[in-house]
Amino acid sequence: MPIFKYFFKLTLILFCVLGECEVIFAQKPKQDTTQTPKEKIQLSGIRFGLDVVPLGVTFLDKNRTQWEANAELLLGNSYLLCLDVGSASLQRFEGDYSNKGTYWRIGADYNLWRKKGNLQDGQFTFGFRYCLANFQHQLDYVIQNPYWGNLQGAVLEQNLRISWIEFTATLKARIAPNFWMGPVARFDLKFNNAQDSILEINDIPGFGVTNNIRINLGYQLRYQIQWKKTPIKK
Amino acid sequence: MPFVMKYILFGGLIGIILLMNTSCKRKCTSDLKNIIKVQFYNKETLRLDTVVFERIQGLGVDSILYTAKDSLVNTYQLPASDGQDMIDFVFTRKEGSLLKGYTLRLTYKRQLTINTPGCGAFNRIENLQVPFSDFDSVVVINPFLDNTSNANIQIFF
Repeated sequence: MPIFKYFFKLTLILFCVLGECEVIFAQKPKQDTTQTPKEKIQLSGIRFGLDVVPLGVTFLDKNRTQWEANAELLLGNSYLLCLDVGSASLQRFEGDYSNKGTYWRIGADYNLWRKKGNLQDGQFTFGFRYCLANFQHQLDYVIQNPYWGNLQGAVLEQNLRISWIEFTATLKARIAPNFWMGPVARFDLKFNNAQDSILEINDIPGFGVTNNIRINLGYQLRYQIQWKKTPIKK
Repeated sequence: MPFVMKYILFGGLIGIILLMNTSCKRKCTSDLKNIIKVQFYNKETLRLDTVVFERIQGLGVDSILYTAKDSLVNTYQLPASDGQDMIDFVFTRKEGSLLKGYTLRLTYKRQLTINTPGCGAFNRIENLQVPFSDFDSVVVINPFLDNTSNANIQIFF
């Protein structure tokens, strides 16, 4: 497909520019001499930030408005407590359908990238979230039925509430002192709609179109306030 | 910053931006009609049969769906109503010199949806039932109207 060819070429160019045309496959793996100390789980910092993908969607699609803010508590080198709060609204069919609401996710991440840098330069985390969206949807409709007659009506359903669980994989790197960025992949699982709604639920803020399984991508920016540097055993 | 990290960070960012730009446009590709397909079977041979009716029409509707001329088929396609959960169809048949009407009453559950990409509002119809019929033997074989099945109702006549 052309888009993948384009993406492949672009990333290949970046690959050469950023890495100054290094051939990484020819490099011998360096032996890692550092050892992770047995750590205490204690509050070592806090990060605030946002996801740029919802902002990008808002910028590119005039029918959608989204934002998402994030906070992370760093517990030692390995654990992060995470809280995401966001809002999303969209319109379809020239405004005949609208959906808006807020969502939050709460959970924890476990960092696998501890040997190099100990949360100082990079993180590769897997995590779990419990997510809840509170929203409303509205539809003005005309259904054409040439035999029995057309049906015209309007539906507004408020205080709809849906929860789901999410597994995340996140890669973050420190790009400047206290500034972090990186992509996140979210694997969302929704078990049921739990609503006896007149209009079938089609979009959920923070989740997307209501398939039971979704993979969402994000790109996060963070500012870190460091309380305590975690020790690295040499 | 490690080299691989740079690659993933910037490659990932560009990838996500490209994906946002090329997100699929929603086009309506479905034929959004709720059609109830009724097949007639010979009750003795249990084989698909053609039963000719003088007319078939919905109760309370002036328009005739089928006349004797176009009822030389074994599957009748009856439209569901978007505004009612219960509809009656009357099948009028010439028996000798008399016209006899057979009523087929159908009930179903409607769910308003916009799930079909780009097509706007649509009633998804499920739980099709036949609570009353003048036909001797009526079987609902597919209670969900999805336009892909050959038949929803079999009538043994």
